[in-house]
Amino acid sequence: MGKVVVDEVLVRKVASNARLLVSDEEVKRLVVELNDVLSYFSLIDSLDVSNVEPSFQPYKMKNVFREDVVRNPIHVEVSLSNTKNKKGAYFLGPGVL
Amino acid sequence: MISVVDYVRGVSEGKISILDYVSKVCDEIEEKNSVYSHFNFFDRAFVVSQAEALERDIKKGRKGKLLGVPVSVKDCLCVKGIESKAGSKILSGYKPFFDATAVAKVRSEGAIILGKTSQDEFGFGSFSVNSDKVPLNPFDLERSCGGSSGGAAGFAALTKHTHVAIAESTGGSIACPASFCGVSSLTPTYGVVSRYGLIDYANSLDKIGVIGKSMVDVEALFSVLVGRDEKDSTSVDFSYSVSEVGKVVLGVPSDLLDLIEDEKIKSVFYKKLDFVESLGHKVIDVSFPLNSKFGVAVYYLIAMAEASTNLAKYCGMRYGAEESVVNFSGNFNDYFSFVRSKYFGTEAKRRIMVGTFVRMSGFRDAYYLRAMKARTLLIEEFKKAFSKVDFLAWPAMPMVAPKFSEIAKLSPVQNYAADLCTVPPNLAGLPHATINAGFVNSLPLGFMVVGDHFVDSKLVSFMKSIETNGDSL
Repeated sequence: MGKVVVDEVLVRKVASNARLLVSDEEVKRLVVELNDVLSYFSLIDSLDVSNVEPSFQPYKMKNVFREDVVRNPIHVEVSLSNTKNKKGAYFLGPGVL
Repeated sequence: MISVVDYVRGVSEGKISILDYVSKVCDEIEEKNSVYSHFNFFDRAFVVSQAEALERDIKKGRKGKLLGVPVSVKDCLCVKGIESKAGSKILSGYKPFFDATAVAKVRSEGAIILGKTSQDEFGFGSFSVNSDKVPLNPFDLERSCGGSSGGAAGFAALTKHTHVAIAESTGGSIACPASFCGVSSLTPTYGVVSRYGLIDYANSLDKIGVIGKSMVDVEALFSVLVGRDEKDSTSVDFSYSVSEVGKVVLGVPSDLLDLIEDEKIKSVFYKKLDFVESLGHKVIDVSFPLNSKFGVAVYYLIAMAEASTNLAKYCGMRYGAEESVVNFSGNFNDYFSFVRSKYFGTEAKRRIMVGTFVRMSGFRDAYYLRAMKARTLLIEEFKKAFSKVDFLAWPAMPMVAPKFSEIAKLSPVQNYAADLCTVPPNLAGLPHATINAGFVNSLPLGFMVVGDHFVDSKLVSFMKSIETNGDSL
């Protein structure tokens, strides 16, 4: 594909998609860095990949199944042991609205 | 310093007291970790309690292949009840309620877990500088241990005691620090060691491996880590066996060597290669243009894309760093964004940004999918080479350990380019091992050998046969 030019608008859009807050200063730095990195990535544009299958794993793997049986469940207290944001037997989350 | 095998024999014969020995290791860590920062987590009481329990069990007849052996664990592997944060603030305080399978396996063979070794945040780096705790190189305190398993390699080099390290590699995080610290290492074939309990970086690339003082020690730990695990659907049936190596044909890719600018690096590598040839092995030149030219770009595209999805789960809920959701003004998106922005480090954010971009609608096919297709071509290039040779060999890194002042001047792309030698086998999921090749200006350099998928046993046997006394520290 042709060269993509990353600007401040695109950086803010990507940051929003990635759930990251970026300051004006960070946006300016990321514009430069993303352009550098993507320019480097464009090196692979010269590779002919027509009629080539993608390798999502290093070698072909088979899907693996196990018996659908209940095993030792994680106890509620254990599940909640790594957070202070809890109420009764539930995780307490941020507001939806 | 005695080998792991001799240590276990000494313990089994009652000649070595585990409690006395690990107490000395604890003394060493307590004395030196404030300077070297090889451990993110260390607690003498945690170590001693394991040793006491083991000694009681031995009196009742307990056996094991790693009986009483001090083993360090990279911070990205879960250890039950011990803070496991993969070098990231966003996992601060996270104490898993289970052991990673690799950790459970060494425990079942009687190993003593020393603590969690320092690393780049989530493995994002080649110099272990992308974290609060930066491990220092035992050869020169102003230089990097390499990354991302810097603490593991640094301590393996520094310690005067028997010890092996469980490490992890995505694009070179085992071979690089082993090279910089002058120790031995093995990164196995993808899937040979279960990754259950690994705090992941990039799923199609992550591999758990070993760093030790010598290949004999690496073998001792590796042999107990392997095998299928139903908790990891990508793990495969594999058992380690000592192999007869015989005479091998070793391919050297001149395309890759041509890209290494430092002639001293090549000189040390070729000197070691001459030694290997003198043992009766054959060395031939192989063509390797695609991996040499495109390896780093393809690797980073895939790694960042996968990392950006893996890190989406860290949002300040359930475990790790969090804020009070009751007092937070804003909706869940505001909360997730606030926590992620506050606790992820600079390099993690950069990789999330790039990885998110290359997966976005309109760009996915041009970047991510294209990289996955390019990966097929790079793997095929390896397979073509392995139709002519048993193994491939080249320097583990294009440089010796750089100074921190030099690293600070590198741009992100210059940082990534340092992985020129390590990304090809990682991208292809191929087993690769390193031993020390020699020294450039008194700093160690690794000699890396790469094998085809699942020839891990033969690779280890070959590396043992070419490692000489004095190669490693």
